[in-house]
Amino acid sequence: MKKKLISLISTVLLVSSGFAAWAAGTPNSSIIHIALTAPITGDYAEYGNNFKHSVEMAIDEINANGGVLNKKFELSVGDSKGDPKESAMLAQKWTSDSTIVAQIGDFTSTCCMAAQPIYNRAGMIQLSPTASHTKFASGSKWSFSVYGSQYWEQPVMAALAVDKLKFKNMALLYINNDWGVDTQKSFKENFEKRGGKIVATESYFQGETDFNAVLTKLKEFKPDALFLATMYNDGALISKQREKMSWNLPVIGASALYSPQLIQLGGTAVNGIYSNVSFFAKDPDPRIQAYVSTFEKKFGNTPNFAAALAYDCVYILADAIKRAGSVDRNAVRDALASSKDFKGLAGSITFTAERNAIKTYKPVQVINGEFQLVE
Amino acid sequence: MFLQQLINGIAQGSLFALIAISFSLVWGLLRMVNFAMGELYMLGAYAGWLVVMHVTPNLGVALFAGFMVGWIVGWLIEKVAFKAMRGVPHIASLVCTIGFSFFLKETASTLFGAETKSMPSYYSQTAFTIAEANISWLQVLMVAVAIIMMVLLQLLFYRTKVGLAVRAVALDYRTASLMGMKVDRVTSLAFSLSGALVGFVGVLAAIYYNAVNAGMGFVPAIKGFTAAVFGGITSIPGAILGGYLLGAIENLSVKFMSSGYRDFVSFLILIIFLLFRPNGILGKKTKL
Amino acid sequence: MNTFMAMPLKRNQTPFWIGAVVLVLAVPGLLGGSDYLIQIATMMALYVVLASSLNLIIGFTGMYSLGHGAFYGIGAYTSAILAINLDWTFWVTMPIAGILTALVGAFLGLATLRLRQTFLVFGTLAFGEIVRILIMNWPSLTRGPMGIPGIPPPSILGFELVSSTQYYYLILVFAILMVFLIFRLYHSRVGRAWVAIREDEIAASSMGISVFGYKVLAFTIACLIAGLAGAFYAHFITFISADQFGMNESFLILTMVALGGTGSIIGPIIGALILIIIPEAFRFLAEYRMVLYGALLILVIVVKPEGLAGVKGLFAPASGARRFSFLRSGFSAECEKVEGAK
Repeated sequence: MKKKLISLISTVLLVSSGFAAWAAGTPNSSIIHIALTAPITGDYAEYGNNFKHSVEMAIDEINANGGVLNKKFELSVGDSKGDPKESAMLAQKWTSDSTIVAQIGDFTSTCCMAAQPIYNRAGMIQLSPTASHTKFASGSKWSFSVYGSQYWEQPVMAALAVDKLKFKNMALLYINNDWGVDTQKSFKENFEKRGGKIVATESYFQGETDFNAVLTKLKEFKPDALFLATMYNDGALISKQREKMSWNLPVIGASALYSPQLIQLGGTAVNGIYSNVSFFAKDPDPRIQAYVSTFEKKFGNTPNFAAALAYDCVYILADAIKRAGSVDRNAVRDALASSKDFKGLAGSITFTAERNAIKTYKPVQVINGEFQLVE
Repeated sequence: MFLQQLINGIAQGSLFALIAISFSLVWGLLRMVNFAMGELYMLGAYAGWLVVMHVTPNLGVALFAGFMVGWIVGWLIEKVAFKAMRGVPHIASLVCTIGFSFFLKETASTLFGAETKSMPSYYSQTAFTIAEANISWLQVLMVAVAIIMMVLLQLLFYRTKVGLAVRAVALDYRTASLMGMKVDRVTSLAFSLSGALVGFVGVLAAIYYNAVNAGMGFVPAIKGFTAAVFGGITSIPGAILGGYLLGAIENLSVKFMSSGYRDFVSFLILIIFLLFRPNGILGKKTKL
Repeated sequence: MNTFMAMPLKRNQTPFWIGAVVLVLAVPGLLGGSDYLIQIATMMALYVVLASSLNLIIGFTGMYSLGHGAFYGIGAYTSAILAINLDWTFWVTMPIAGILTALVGAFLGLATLRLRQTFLVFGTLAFGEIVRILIMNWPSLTRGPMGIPGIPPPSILGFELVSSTQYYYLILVFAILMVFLIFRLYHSRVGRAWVAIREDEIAASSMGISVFGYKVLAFTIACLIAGLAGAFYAHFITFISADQFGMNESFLILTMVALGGTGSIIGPIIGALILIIIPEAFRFLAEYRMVLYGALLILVIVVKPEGLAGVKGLFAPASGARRFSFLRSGFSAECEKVEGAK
């Protein structure tokens, strides 16, 4: 027994000291170390990899141009799998490392919110490209979201639906997660304020592939149009199934529908769909064109809204570090909070007092298999 | 619209029914659940997608590819998770299939990329219209294929020597072995067949929903499993009946209540059945 | 059946346990105060509790449960809702969470434990999904998909436990208490009855053991502990949502028990430690991390089907002879298995 005890204790000692050595980083004054938390594996891997590609690209560009404050950026990537537990674990990992200045991520709001208290306690910037939960950015002075809340997006969509397209009775279909609920609620509010009427609301869970039943049900209410609060892959699936049941009606949807993948997956079924964008890949702005063509060359697909938002995160962070004049966590946070009219790919970014980005959205429509701005 | 929901339910039920048969096959022989079933479905769909995109747009070839991939991976899972682990507690095999589920899903995701792939439509034109309800050729095909598969399996089990062997092994291992049957080979065959069926369904589903991704198997596998228990996991006609009933009930429940409760209804039915009729609708009465 | 394959822990193992306790108490010091490593250690302690409680069901009485994540979730949600809506302290909400979870568990147990053990797999799985769907569809109570943020951390005599080290000790004390409780239970009259049921139900009932009663008891106690663990988790992570208690969570806990070795005290502990450390240690593999995780899981289970602690009699006299049973014809073993399932 004694032997086993001794061997067990020594194993634990060995392992733990190894870990301790591994976890401790050495500070280096010529680099700016930032961390990215993203779902590289698991159900959200697609978005996580988009984050990773964009962030790496932005950092390479900044470093090629001489870096910030004569320092080069260095990136650590952590895979959260879309699991809040792992996101919190990574938050501890990043905050334990004194060389890390700020963290970008995570993708889902639930992951961000599980990690939030840790960043808050440690005093590290938690800059999420996509967290949209109403209680996220307001929950800690260290949390920022560049997604832009539904507060700015849905009035644009409601105005489009009521004023331009003259819809009176609409049906809603949303994904049952925090983002879907928020989007759907906000659209409903704005639409009803403008005198529209929501005749039916249905939801589905993440991972569902069969929408025939909900669509058939919504069809019974004979709405003028359908609003989709879904990601683009589900949006494409829904449109295909709607086309197959030959239910032809105008469809509008949240900005999350904006992706070249929507058209690849949806084909002719998504023609005519209205959405809105803060980042538009066909924008003539040379910065956007340069970004899109480099991204396409490197990764073989056109970047979507999530990729552009992650790209903006790196640049706005670099801008804040430049304005702060140091890599002190507190100074960078204050500089970030006071960002004003920062020119990002996905529109200009100004943070509210609750650290949500104020965004402007432009309506788009799919015409002949391509997104085009609606005048 | 009641009719339309029923038709949707029956089409979806065909998919559930075929998955349910696979669970029944494995259960019947090994009294075991294969938790990697959803991943076999996903791999089948990927195989079909690869064929359609890169080899030939022929639907038959795509379905066959799904069938074969399911067969091979199913065979492999049987060898590793079941055959190599005879005589140890069931839980080891159960966890091994959970390991396979992880491994296959993440491998597909890294190999093919995490984004959803588009699958072209086949036979999506409307075949009939009955009282405003549309039935597409694909839906007809799905139901037909499910029924043909069921008939073929019934013939296989009740008209051939192989089927006799499978039934004998399912009924009583020891006696079957004493009678000189190659129990291992029969088990392996049935397991591969179950994998092949699920792979085949994966291709059908990919065509029906026009999408393929690494996580696509999770929900259908759970539903197929529910359908199998619902109809009686020990009997193949029971599994088929369970699949169709589950499809119909799910789709009709959407008509009468919020779609958020759609899955709730199926799981509630599962629990109620387990409590009051654990052998399902058509299951044989066995000692509890 | 290889009888009492995992009758563990003779008295002379006491020094081992004392050593282990001293060691885990010293962990924060050993880790050089790194919050990340302490967070990992905290999660390990929490999952030691969860895996050990599931082991009460699987390892001690030979039943299956694939809904353990749901009980863990019920505990977490109960405690969080009470703490937020009624502003009650953790020390009140935690036991209530445990008791409520135990009641739900007892109810489910009474309803389903009469079923043949393998049917229990389906029942508990369905139950787990029902709980998740209810959480999602009951926004007035659970805030639905929005989750519950801002759960207050526990406090002792007015001091809020916020630092990782403080929380590590809190969960550690909880874990040690729970493992000790399970250990005592195992060596009590109740524990012997459980093992008797696992080994041979018919023989046990003919000895006058109330098989059904003892099964429900095991299930209830396991749920009680899982509910308590849920409460500790909720106040530790401070934000809970339905996706944290889904089927994957149940699978994870089940895997821990199987990998570590069912039926022994040390087995689930080892399983929990390994399955928490592996995903973290594999981080350098980036997108191949989970591929390798799955492959390793398969490999370990194939090489050591009884679980890591079931081998060579390190902590429990194991049935090492079975390891290579597949090299034999495999058939006699198969017959045993079929009999064992009945």
